Amino acid sequence: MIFSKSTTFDDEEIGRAVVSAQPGSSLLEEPQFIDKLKAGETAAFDTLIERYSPALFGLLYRLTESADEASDLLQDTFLRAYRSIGGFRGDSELKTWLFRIAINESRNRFRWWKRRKRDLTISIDAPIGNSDLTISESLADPSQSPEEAALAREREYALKTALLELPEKYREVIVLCDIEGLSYEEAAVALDTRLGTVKSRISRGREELRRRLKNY
Amino acid sequence: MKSWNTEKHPLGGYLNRPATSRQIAFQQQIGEPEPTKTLTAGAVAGVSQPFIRSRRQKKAMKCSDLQYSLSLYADSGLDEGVDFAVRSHIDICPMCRQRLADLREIRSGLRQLPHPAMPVDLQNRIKMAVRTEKYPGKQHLPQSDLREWLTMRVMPYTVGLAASILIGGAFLTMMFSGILQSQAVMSYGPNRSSSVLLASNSNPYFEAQDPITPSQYANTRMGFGYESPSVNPSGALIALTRSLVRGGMKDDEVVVVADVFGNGLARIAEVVEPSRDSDAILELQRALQSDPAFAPFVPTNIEDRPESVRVVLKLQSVSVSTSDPPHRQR
Repeated sequence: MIFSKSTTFDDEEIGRAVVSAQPGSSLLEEPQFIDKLKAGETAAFDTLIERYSPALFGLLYRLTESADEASDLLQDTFLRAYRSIGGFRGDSELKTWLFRIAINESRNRFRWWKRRKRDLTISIDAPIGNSDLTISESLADPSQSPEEAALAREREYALKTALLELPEKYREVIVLCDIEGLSYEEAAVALDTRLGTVKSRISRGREELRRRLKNY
Repeated sequence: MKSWNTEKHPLGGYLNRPATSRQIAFQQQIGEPEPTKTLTAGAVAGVSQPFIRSRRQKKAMKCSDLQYSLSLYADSGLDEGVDFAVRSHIDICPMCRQRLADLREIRSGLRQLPHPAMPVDLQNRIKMAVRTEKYPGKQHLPQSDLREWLTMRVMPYTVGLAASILIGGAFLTMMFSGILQSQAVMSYGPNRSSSVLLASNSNPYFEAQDPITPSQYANTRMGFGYESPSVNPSGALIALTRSLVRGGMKDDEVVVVADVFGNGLARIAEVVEPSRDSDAILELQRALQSDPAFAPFVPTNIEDRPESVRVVLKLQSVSVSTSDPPHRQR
């Protein structure tokens, strides 16, 4: 298997809890905050953008592997949220609702590309945003030796490639649960599907990743 | 078909029990084919034979039965019963233990993927897009940009404007307090050498709120007072010059020769140039010979000079065009 570094179960659970606990997303704050959003307060939307754009960008980037695509989709996501916030009933958390919008925007864009037979390609050496830093360069850990860094980069490249080659329905749920740290229930809301479907997809998606990575 | 679960016996053996309806429902829910009744081959390699063995105990999960359960087991996402069954299987199955380890490593690798860096200006672009959506047709700056714009552009101008207002206000205050007017008279060339000006209101002290005393003024002119007696700042001559300016004396002058005495009083000895106003000489004479308490010049006890000094007094009224309407100053 490609990953020699293991993490204990307890550590992972703790890590998952930490990832899930987004700063500033306290449920106690949300009702007042949502009221301001519904009132169309620009400052509230600024806060919304600042609070959730990093996680949403991460999700969209993992789904598209393109910083430009992810940026466009992120803008479309917040514009859609601005137009639709009046219909937000609070059945789910704001973050989950935004993830759902982002995934729908991503699906629409993916279908648009497919209709034009211009499917996405992997570009791990593409620059991040407007910087000169490439995605592969950003993966290097400065605390590692050059050999370790090269191996780590190779492993991550393989993992990212395998992830991108997964069918969309598996990739979505794995990005949501394993990278963005959503629970199965939250992922089900974000994907607008049943809990059992999420469990099935994450199981099959991980198995598919294991199959693709068994030679590494 | 019937489904079976394997449970570990407290004494070290394994018991096979039929799966509960909930477990079967879950297995169907996650998309697996319905588990078939299976028979265990006893111990897998490296595992001793179960201590307790019966026909039912020989029935256990096959590896393929938990193909999709392992991933959920890694997340603690299985029901208690199924979780126990999976744990029991992986205890005896090294292949599934390895699969579980692989899945955990994949999950760990996914969680450790570095978060992609967002383009630096993306948040601001989105904020502007939202503002444009709210107010179509207007250009908007997000708060942080607005703050930066205010800091970079508006603040320097604001500070400059405030400083200009302060300086302008101070300048106007000085003008209206008469200081500038006095200085304008001082700079009027022909009068600089005039003894009248030396003894008149050309000194800004006269216009100050806290007027200088006769002795203080005499001290400022130490060295000159011997030939040019100092005007009494609170004397009648100063009062006269002010009244003449406020009166009808416009662009006019009067030059007289006068004798200044030890008590500060004086007397006109000769009129060199009379004023167009015939009363001006009479008023000047009255001022020079007024009460010693309001003597036009400081007395000799506070200024070192002879008991009698002859001086030429020149009183002149000129218009100074510093603003509209022009101010007259003597």
